[in-house]
Amino acid sequence: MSESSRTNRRIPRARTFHLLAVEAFQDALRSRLGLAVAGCALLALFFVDRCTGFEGSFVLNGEALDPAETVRAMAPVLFGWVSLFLLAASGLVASDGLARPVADGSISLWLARPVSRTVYALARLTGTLALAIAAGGAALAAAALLLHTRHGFALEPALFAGLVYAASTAVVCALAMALSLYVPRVITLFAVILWIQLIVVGNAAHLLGASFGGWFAALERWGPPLGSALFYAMSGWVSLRPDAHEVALVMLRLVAWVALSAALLVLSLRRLELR
Amino acid sequence: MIAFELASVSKLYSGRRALDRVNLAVPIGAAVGLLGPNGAGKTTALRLLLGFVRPSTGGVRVRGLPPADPRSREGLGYVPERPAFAPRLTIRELLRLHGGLIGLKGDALEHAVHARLLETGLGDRARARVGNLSKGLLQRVAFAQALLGDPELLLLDEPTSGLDPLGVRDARDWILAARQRGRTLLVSSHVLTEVERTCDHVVILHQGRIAASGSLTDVLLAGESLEDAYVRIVRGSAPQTAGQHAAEGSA
Repeated sequence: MSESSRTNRRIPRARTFHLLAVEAFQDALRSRLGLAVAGCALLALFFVDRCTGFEGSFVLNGEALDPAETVRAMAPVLFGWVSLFLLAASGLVASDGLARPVADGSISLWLARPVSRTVYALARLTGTLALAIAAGGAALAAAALLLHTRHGFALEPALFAGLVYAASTAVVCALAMALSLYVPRVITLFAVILWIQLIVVGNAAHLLGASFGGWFAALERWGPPLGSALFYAMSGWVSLRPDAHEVALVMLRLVAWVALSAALLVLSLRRLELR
Repeated sequence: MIAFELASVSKLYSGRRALDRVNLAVPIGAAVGLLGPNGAGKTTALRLLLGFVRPSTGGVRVRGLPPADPRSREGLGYVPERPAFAPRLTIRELLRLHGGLIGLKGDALEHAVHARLLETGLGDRARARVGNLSKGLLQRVAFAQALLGDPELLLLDEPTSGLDPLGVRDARDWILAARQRGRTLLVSSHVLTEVERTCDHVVILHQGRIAASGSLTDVLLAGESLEDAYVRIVRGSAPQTAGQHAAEGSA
């Protein structure tokens, strides 16, 4: 059989997607930003290790506090903070994941093949996500194990929080990649960090019962619930019993945002002209 | 059957007209040289055919399919003007990946990659990272990936750019070999002697319009070289009207 006749067969989309996603993962892994994300994950783990291994004593208003109790009270905040830090770090690698092949022109030769832009965008997202979730997930898993072995924290909330982290990373990466097609990467990165902070502050304020209006309220009410979902996932650690209906709605909103942000990324690449 | 077709296509970039109501039809099996001064719209025409940019008006078809349809690029090889590859891949990894994307796998993939490496003189550099290659070697890699799977259609944008004289000769041999196998070629180039040697039809673009088109014998006057004809047409004639394009744009 000739080379030409072998290539005349229709190529399954799944195979194309797999080839490009593996390439995107390896590309992210080999890049300096991939190393930076791995460094952030290690830094976060080091931070958790130092904070949960504290054995000194606290004095508050002249009263000595039990260090173990202090750590127990602070651990969910610490775990949540580390998750959000890793989420911002995933925005770092995502800001480069699609913008670089477009900027250096290497996207042209991939798209000169029978590859749709939808498949290419989703493959780049998957490859980038795989790295971000692997690095962040490993750091969060190690943090959860530290909390479990040192202070007896249950692992189920950590597992739930890990799933929320993965979904939130998908939202952050997809939106960062879409934005990076239109603005410089540095601006994308700062925009992602600012946006995560705004949403988390809004979510936290809402959970604490604060009321506010305008665009900030709309962002909190309809935007991706990065902070709320994480808080509800970890609620088992703080003996809270949030309304199950509210938790379900927040998780549903997060899943909807995963789909919406991926669709936005695909649409952005499909509209882009490659000159 | 028509391989590449631009039907009354105009393309504007930020108000600047890169192509103006261009009609072009390249039949299967033809070898067409796309000529014109810098900024005439040659690369834009190729990018429209690949779906990289959308026409402002008019229609684009590749084997009857719109370029937005990935099936229009099955059996198509492309050599860009400035080849850019994922820099961290080795040449062999890159070719394997491109081979996979056109449906080759297993032994057939390895055989095709090996054959293209040898054919393009890259056999001893297969493990070199693409990001470390010179422009001439990058151009050879571009040919190697474009020729994988012996594609039926070849789009070549300045294919000899950056090649040394030996490389130019090799590129000419690859193009002529593809032509002898009956492949359809659309070659955008400034090197008129190469076009004269490798193509049987030419289309001359000037200021985004087709200034002349047809077989070499149609375009050249008696005793005239392609270079003479090119200078005569580009300097001497205003772009033709849309009606003339429709009549003469078929290569």
